[in-house]
Amino acid sequence: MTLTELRHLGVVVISPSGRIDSTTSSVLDAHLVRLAQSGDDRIVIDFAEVDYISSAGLRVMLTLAKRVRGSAGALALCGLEDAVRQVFELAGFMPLFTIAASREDAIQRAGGA
Amino acid sequence: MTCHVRVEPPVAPAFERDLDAAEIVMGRVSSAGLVLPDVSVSRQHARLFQRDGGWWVEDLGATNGTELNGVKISGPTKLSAGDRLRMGGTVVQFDPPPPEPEWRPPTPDPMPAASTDRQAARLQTLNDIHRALATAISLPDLLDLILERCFRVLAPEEGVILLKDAAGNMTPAASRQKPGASSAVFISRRLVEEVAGKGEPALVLDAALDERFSGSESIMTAGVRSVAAAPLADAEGTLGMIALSSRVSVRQFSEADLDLLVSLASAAALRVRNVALAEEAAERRVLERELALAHDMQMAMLPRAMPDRREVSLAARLTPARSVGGDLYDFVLAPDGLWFIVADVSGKGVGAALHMAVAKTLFRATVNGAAPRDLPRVLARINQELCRDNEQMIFTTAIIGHLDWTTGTLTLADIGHLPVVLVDSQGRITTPEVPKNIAFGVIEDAGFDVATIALAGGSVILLYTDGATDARDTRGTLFGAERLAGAIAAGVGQGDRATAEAMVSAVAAAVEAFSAGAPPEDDLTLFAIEYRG
Repeated sequence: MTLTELRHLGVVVISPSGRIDSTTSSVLDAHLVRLAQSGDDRIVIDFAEVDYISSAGLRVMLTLAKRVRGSAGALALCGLEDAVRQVFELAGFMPLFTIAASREDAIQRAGGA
Repeated sequence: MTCHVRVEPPVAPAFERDLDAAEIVMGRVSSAGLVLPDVSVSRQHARLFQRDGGWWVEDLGATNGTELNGVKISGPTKLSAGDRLRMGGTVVQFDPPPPEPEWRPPTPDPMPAASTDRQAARLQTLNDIHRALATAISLPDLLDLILERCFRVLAPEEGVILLKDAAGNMTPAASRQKPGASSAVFISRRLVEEVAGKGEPALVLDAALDERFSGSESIMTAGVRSVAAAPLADAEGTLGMIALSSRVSVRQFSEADLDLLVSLASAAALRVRNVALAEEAAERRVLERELALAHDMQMAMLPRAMPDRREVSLAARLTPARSVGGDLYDFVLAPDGLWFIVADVSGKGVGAALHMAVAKTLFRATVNGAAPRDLPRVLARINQELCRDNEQMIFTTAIIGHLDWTTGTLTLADIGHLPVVLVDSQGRITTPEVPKNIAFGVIEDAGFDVATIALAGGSVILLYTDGATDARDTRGTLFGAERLAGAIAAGVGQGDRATAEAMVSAVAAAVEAFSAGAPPEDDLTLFAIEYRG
């Protein structure tokens, strides 16, 4: 997994690529924790380049959502292809997240101004 | 009676000592009477001792043995003046003839008065440093201690230790400044390449005139600077480097200073390697112990015997993965039927195992005495408990259900889990539609929906975890739902009535054959219920 981060309209867009599994999810989690520590709480995660997400990866998303709610920030997900979308659906997590159709839409829904 | 020895380590400079104890242990360990700074020497390599007015040597079972004048010794052996002992790469001369006045070829030395006295004093310093470094037990402590000793003997204004990180980059791991010195760490990329990359020490008499510091890569601070840098290297390779710098007006380093730094760095490298290995081994041991404990907890929670009754027969397999645990299955036999659960706790180690124990206990407690129509309430209670103090967001997916074996009514709930497979009495394979609920442990006041399915005698239901669908072959291909369906079809057999055991065996064998040679990604659980009617 590699992580790409860019900032647009005050929103941090994180694009992981490859597999988010029990080994790589800790890297993503550590990165998101650092973001929170620096006060960034308008976040978009773009899954377009993600082939696979395991339950460890879902847990990272849950903790992120909880953190963002706690700081009154905003989180939107985009780029969920079938393989990733199915994992969110199986766990019953779709209603917990703002799922956007495109990256631009996601940035807007994460409060990009 | 005292004796005199001259020690010639392979890397560090030679030194001499007078010994007068009744017994002196020689070895790499810091508590040795004569510390030998050499990785090829055993921790307690050999001992010198006095007997009958003479000195003797005895090997202490060292890996590489001890040689006396080129011959390996096998027991206590008497020593004579001029004898040469070899331990690993180190030679110890026993009562050698007085050294030549200039035993070291003179090197051009801009520092005047580098007399043999001063050399001897420095060698003594080195042996002291080697002993001192042995007292540090953590890497940060050790690095601080190395810099502290560098400052004590070489008096730079600034010092930095770079260590190679996991990606192979040299990153600053410790630094130290003389009070009042500039805070910038004075080092250039070229210098790092030369010292750490090629493993060669470097002396910069005047950074302003040295091409290694020309160009934009250098971080120049005020004043003309002198730099001494040495690799932290041992027989296995380069671990990093030490660089010391000073304004020339305060301190200009000499070749003799560099020699001392090189020796100090090689003693330090040995310790850095040992401490790093010990820390790594300790972390690994803790992790392994935790995983072993979690594994034992998981296995202890599984039912020991599966019922095989007139109405119903059960079969199950749980193949644990080494690092990711968390699968669970269980059942409770009630007077009119069977409660069952297959669950997958996210996370690993003891945390997940404890969560698993809680889930199992809650399942057993809540279904006890409950009717099938109580299932939504049962699930809500389990969920509330699993949400409690769940800061880590450990969630649990599960299939929980009840089979009434007098009527064939199956009540089933999907709590964020994979779909259930149903093989009916004609061998048709279907996925019954069951409402999706959110996994346990996420939303405290979540409600739960369940499905009711009428089973005919001869049906088998298969529950599984993602260790099946997410198993990978050596090329990384997922086993997937289609291969799972194929394996189930194979388990049903041609025209036969499916049995719980045949179904579980067929799927387990298919996953195992598919992922042969690839490490298991996740626990694999298969749980089949055969309703005989």
